[in-house]
Amino acid sequence: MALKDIDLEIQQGEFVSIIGHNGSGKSTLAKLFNALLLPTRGDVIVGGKNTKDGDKLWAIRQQVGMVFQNPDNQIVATTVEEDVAFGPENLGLSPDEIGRRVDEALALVGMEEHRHRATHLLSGGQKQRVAIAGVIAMRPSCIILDEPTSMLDPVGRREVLETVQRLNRQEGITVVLVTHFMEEAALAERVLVMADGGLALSGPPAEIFSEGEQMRQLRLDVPQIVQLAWELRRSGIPVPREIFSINELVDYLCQYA
Amino acid sequence: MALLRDMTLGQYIPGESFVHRLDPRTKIIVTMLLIILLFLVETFQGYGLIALFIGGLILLARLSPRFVLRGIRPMLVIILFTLVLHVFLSEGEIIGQLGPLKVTKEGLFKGGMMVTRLLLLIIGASLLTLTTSPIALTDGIEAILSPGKRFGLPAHELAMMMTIALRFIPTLLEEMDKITKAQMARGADFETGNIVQRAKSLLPLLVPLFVSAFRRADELAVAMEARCYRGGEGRTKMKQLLFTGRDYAVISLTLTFAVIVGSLF
Amino acid sequence: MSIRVRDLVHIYQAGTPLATEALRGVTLEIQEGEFFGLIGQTGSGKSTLIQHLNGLIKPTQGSVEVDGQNLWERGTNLKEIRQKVGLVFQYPEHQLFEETVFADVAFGPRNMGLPEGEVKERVEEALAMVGLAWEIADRSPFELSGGQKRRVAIAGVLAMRPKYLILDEPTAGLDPMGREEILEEIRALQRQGVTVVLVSHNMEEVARLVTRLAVMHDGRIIAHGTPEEVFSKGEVLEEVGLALPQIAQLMHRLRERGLDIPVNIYTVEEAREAILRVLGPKQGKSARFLTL
Repeated sequence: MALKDIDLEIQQGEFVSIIGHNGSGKSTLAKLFNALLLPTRGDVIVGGKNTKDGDKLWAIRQQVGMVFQNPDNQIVATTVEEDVAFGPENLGLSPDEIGRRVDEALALVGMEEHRHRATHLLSGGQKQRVAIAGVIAMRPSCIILDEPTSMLDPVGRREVLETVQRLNRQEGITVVLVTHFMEEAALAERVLVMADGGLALSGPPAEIFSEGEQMRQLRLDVPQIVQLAWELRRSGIPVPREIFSINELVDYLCQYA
Repeated sequence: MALLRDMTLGQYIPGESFVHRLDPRTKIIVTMLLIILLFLVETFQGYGLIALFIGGLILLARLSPRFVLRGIRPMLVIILFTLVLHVFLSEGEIIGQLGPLKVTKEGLFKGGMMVTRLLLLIIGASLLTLTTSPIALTDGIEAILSPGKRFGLPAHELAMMMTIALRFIPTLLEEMDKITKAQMARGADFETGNIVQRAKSLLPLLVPLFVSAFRRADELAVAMEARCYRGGEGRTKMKQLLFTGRDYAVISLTLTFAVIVGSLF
Repeated sequence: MSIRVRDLVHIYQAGTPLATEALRGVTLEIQEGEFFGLIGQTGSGKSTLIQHLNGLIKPTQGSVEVDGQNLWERGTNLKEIRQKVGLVFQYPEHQLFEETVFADVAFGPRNMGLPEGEVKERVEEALAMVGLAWEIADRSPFELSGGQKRRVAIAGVLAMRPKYLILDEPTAGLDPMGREEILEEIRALQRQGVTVVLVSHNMEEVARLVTRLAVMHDGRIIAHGTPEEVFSKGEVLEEVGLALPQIAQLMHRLRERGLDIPVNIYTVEEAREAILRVLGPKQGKSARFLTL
């Protein structure tokens, strides 16, 4: 059994992250959101449509886009623009409309100047941004990203995360980010912690990540800054629980001094 | 890898020339006509005219003739083999002898013919791929084959397979390079030994490559489904193929040329 | 005894329009027994450099010597060099190919032409080193978990008993626990006398483990030395898009803001102590005043 008894609601426009160690069920959960997997028991309802309803399958997949872990294995075409066009082409849109959407999607991920480049020559971060553009071009209301940064270097990670945040803030797209990096999960408004196929914790980052011991028990990656904040709190410096970044901690400590 | 780099056949050189901008279907049709013509014509005068025609196309495509000619290099062995076969194995008037092998006048003539034919064939075909992007080429093939759909020809599926193959060739080549090096780092030897030993030494290379290819195929299939791919039915294209006056002109001209040369020589 | 690289230049596809210069003159020496770190962005030349160290690729210019032996001199046995300088590629589990874990780990020793008895001994030893139980030896490597596969692959290199061990991002894609375990095993190997070269873009990992490191950028080494020396040049690293370890960044900024804090600190524990010393809780503060 990969998942058990999960009750969950994600609102339009929310930024939710799902965190958990390998094998905790987070990827399985992600694939249930757009009917790549169907629940054995229970239901997944996307904008009023049940994923078990075969007639609604394509409407659901258009509405809930998905970006996968390995950037190489989700790019279909040999050039950037052709790949971004792949989704809209599957929707049977007119050539003009496809062209418009490709322009728009490439602009949103900042890849316009690479539109004619060969996809295999891009960096990991660029490939992931093309993959995101390919999803955006289908005008989804929600994007699920399944460990999109785990195979990228730090630069690529930053590129992808900035893009995702922009899409959420500026375009109002619902984002579900599956990750095992705590600093990535902390970007979300709400964090869901998975363990052994169940939902272990759920709440805003400040609340979740201040549970130091519990995080370690759940085999999660705790950034050094968060660890330091815990340690300082334990040693009597009342570092607020919302502090996750270096700058915030510097500001706080200087003020405290 | 060195061999692949020399392969002009199959490479695409981006450009904005007259030939580049032709509809891919036009270029496929012209190439087909030239190939048919090459098999009909049996005189050197005829080949001369075809060579001039192809030369004209190379100029129009603004390709460096030297670069195009370099594409012949990987094929040199086949060409020489053809020549030798014809020169020594044809019956006729003997003009020279090399041990037990007789060189005949007819053989020389036939060999020369075949080599010219092969050379023009390779250059003509590489002209198509040099000036047409792989995607345009696939689109063109799909469009040309699509009337066959009525008779059960899977035109879209073939084109999709070609696209994916083109997309993954560089990825898998890179992967093969990496696996080769990784196994060499563990003392694998791909260069010495007899044929059986060498074939066996390929296992540490091929098994991981297949495993990876299948994993990629699996993930790609899921990713395509997530992007609403459900076969060619109801699918549209961002880039529509469009015949313009230019295309009609080029096809009619080639056809006229082919009929004249084909019937005269 | 050391690996010595002198004025190494490598140009891919030299002489074609596609020629790219991956290494532009690298000089470096890795001493026996060291724990050496190599950091740099993707495309900085790290991978090209490490593939030179065991003779997988040939320098365009410059030389590579292992224990005084030039790799590209006539008479050098590259197979022996590759046994001496073990190289674990990124995602090494992608090279597994045998039907059993045993056979896969035995691939290297068998290529060395060792007798079966010795092969078995080495496989046993290598599996133990990476923390895998002997029972796993009969299973297919393809049915193991991701972390286990990676260890089998690393064992495959260890079974050749390399004197130098180079690991390219050995923790990439693993979860925190898997990462910690692998790093712990690597550290144990180094303590047993294996020279380790760790390629990584995780600064925290590098800062915590290595005794010396080099930073690569655009085919050159732009900084090298002990972690203290390298991380004290924060600006140089940031210019090339590499971040200091988080704790080091924090310490630097606190110091910039006027707090009297040492900057050569990389672990949470040391950082806590340093911060408490300067602005500890009330009793800490009074203690400080007392000493004044």
